[in-house]
Amino acid sequence: MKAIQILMYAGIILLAGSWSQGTELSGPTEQLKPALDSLIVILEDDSLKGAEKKKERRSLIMKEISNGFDFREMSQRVLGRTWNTITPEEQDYFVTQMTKLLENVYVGKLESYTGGAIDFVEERIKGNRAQVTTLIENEGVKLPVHYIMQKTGSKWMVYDINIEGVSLIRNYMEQFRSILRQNDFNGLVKILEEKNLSFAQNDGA
Amino acid sequence: MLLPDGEYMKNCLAVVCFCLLVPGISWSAELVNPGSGMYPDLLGDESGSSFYDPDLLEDAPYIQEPDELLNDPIFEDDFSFRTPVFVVKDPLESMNRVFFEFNDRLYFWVLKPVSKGYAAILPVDIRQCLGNFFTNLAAPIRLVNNLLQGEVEDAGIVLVRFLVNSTAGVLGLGDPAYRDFELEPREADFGQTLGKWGVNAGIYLCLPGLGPSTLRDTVGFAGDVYLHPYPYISQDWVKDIVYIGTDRVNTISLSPSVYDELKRVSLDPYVASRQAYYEYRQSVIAKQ
Repeated sequence: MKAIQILMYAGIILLAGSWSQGTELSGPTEQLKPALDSLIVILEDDSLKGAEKKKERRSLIMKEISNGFDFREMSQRVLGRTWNTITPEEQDYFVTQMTKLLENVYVGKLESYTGGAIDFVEERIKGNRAQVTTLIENEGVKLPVHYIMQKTGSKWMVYDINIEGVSLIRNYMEQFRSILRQNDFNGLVKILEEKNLSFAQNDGA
Repeated sequence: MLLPDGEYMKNCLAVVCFCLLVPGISWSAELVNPGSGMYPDLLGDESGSSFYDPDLLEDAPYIQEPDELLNDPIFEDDFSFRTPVFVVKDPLESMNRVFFEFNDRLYFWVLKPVSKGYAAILPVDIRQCLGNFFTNLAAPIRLVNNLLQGEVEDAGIVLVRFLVNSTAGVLGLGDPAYRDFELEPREADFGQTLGKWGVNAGIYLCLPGLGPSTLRDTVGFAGDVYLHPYPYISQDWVKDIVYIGTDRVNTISLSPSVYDELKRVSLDPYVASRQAYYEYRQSVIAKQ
């Protein structure tokens, strides 16, 4: 009887030990770094360079990026309380349009920074949210980029990017608030669709 | 900038500063002090802090009407319901939008084509040298403001950089202070100084020819113009405009894509630039 009890305790302690070790190993930085590294690999791949390879490159990037970036969370935050007034189908459609927009914004920015290494400088965790600070160097200028992440289960996902104090999500949130003052949700979606179309037209050429 | 007359300017500025600063000090009690109110447990945080690591997690409530979001599952657990860090005040939006359009055309019809032609004539290293020259000549602004902010060490670096670059760097055309001594520039302006002293940003202003600003930063800009040595050398407002124009065109020719990129990615460029300006200035003021 005693032997079984001791074994059980030992088992619990072992389990607890491995559990805490497991969570420590996959902190926000550890999860973000491979995602960003694989993006850089794609961006620096010579066989994927050039305008004609853009489509192929972008689809590879989107596959990698959706592992670490929570576009649904971003869409919810950007829309604020309007999110709850629309149907689930409208929500899904909005997420796909928002994903397209953010892809063009973020990847477009990342593409202009090729060659510069990304340094991971700081990490800060509060509850289920984290802030990972990276430093991108481009032509002698060091640009701090903060990734704001949220933990769902054991996975850390980025939901905002903050560059020099300017929050990407809040910037769009303010734009949408301003647009929603004069338009309804459908009007907003139309403006969003037009924007995404303009990327396709300008970049596809 | 347009400096009509030294004495006149001095008086104007003294009046403006007095009006702004005296009530500013008594206001600051009720205003959010960006230096201390924005990132509360920065020092108590065990993960520490550094120049590149402001605490952005405290800044999570992207909420303007907190009451309407209660019981909303999206915001339930990670948003603390407190007043937002700042709210952009823009009562003059319709006027600002007109000036925004004006600046937009000024950029696309004048500044961009001119800087393109300019870049075609002058090779990039010469333009970089000119950029260094313009930056170096504005050193008094950074020196005085670093001192006003109590950043004595940074003021010292600004002074050393100015002396090294003006001599070894041949009138500021080169930047040996950074290249050989690794002294990085220390930016500071009067709008930032006022912000650090607790003066609120005030209403948003989009100034024709100058772009996004706030009431505080417009006063700050006027103060910085007063500290710039060029108007004292030139004594001629036409030359001042040429100087500013060349500086602007030179800067655009070296980093051409900032405004184009903003227009490319935003659905309402006016709101996007306003928000970005507010947040950027807020972070510049909160910086230790």
